[in-house]
Amino acid sequence: MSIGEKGRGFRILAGFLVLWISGLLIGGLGSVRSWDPPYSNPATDGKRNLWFIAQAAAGPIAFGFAALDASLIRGAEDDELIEITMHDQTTGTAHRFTSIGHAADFGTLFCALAGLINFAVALDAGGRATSDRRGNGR
Amino acid sequence: MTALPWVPFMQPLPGVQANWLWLLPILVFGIAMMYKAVRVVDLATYWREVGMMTMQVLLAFLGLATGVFMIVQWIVPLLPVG
Repeated sequence: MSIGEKGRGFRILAGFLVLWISGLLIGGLGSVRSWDPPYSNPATDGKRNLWFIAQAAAGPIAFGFAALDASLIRGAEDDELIEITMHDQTTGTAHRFTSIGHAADFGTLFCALAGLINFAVALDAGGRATSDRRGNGR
Repeated sequence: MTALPWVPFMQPLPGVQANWLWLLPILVFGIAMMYKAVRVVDLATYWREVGMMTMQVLLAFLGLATGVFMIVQWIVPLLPVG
């Protein structure tokens, strides 16, 4: 479906890719994770990552990278895992490439914002008639 | 096989923990690109508007940081203890 504003669409895509690719570069594959949020112990918690709700608004690309994370990072073989002490003093394991600290925070944030703004853009595109676009009070 | 120092998209970016503040301009720039692509009336002014919004948001952050710094460093120490 098109509303005939390809120039605008390509610029939106460019902005989306700046945020999405930056997020993945900063935090690695763990930036887009549907289960086991950062700082949780998968062995004891195993809970849904709420940040993924925002990231899922990016569309199939979010589910694709979440699946990659699930297979390459969370589902890695034992020799790729290291033992770590969690914030609640329990002992857990994590992939040696798991991002922590600001890298995990910003990677997740970049991708979540890309998804959220993508959702807002979709609402904007679907909410008004083509003749009503830009110029009339916007 | 020699191990690479950093595998993009697989490993987190090295040095982020100490230099995270430099991520802020990139974040604001990306947001401005998407926001202005929807909002601008004339796409010919797109990049100028993106640059202006990025600078405005960064200056707002700087102003907020300065204000909080002044409160914490100068005003809070003047408050009576207890």
